[in-house]
Amino acid sequence: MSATKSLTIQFEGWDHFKNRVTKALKNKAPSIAKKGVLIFGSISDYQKFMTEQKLAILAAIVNKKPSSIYKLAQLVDRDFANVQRDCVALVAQGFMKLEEAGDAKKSKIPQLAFNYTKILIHMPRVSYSHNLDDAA
Amino acid sequence: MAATRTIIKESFAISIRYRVVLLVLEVPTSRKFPNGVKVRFVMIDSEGGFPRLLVDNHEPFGFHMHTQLPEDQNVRVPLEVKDHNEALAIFFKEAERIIANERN
Repeated sequence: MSATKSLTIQFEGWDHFKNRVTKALKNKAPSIAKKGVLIFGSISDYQKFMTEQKLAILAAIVNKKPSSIYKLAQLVDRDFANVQRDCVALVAQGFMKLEEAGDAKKSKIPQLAFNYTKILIHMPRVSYSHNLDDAA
Repeated sequence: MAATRTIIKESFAISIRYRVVLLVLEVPTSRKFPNGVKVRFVMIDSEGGFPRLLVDNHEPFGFHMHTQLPEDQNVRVPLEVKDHNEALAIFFKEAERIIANERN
């Protein structure tokens, strides 16, 4: 079985999400998120969350496979505590996981949530207008 | 024994800080899940990596909400609901209240 190579970011409004899930639950019609897809409420939320530093962390995991957060921090040349904080956020939002190394120091091995090498941002179609005849 | 069936398995970044993860399973009826439905609605705080809010429905508590996570896992607020649909509505409302508090 081939591994999924892309993690897709999709956007959906909170009210739309609530209505979709509520309806599915009422009808007992399965509503199951696709593997390799993460949903954010808005493009700006995603952009604020996914900083250059977090992208560098994910890239270092893909390319260097560090065996601990300490080694990851060295690879991205940042303070350990800040890298650990970013890792925790990336885990919580579904981008990566921290595996127990099983050593005495209880260190954790940073890994991707699954085997992907690309983050695909699925932008919604956007159209908007300026009503010029309303302007003074 | 009847197999477990997934009804809801969804997650959503409600803000840059919080992600809600929803899981509803049809499970064989048991002492722990007499209605044959297992529910877990959780709101994860990405700044600390812990659940901030959790609704589940295992016996002997029935539908209840953990409101003081991560400090106290034993604080459970019973939910006066007749089913998982109402429990989900309460979870959404509480999640929105937490987000609104963050913004104020």
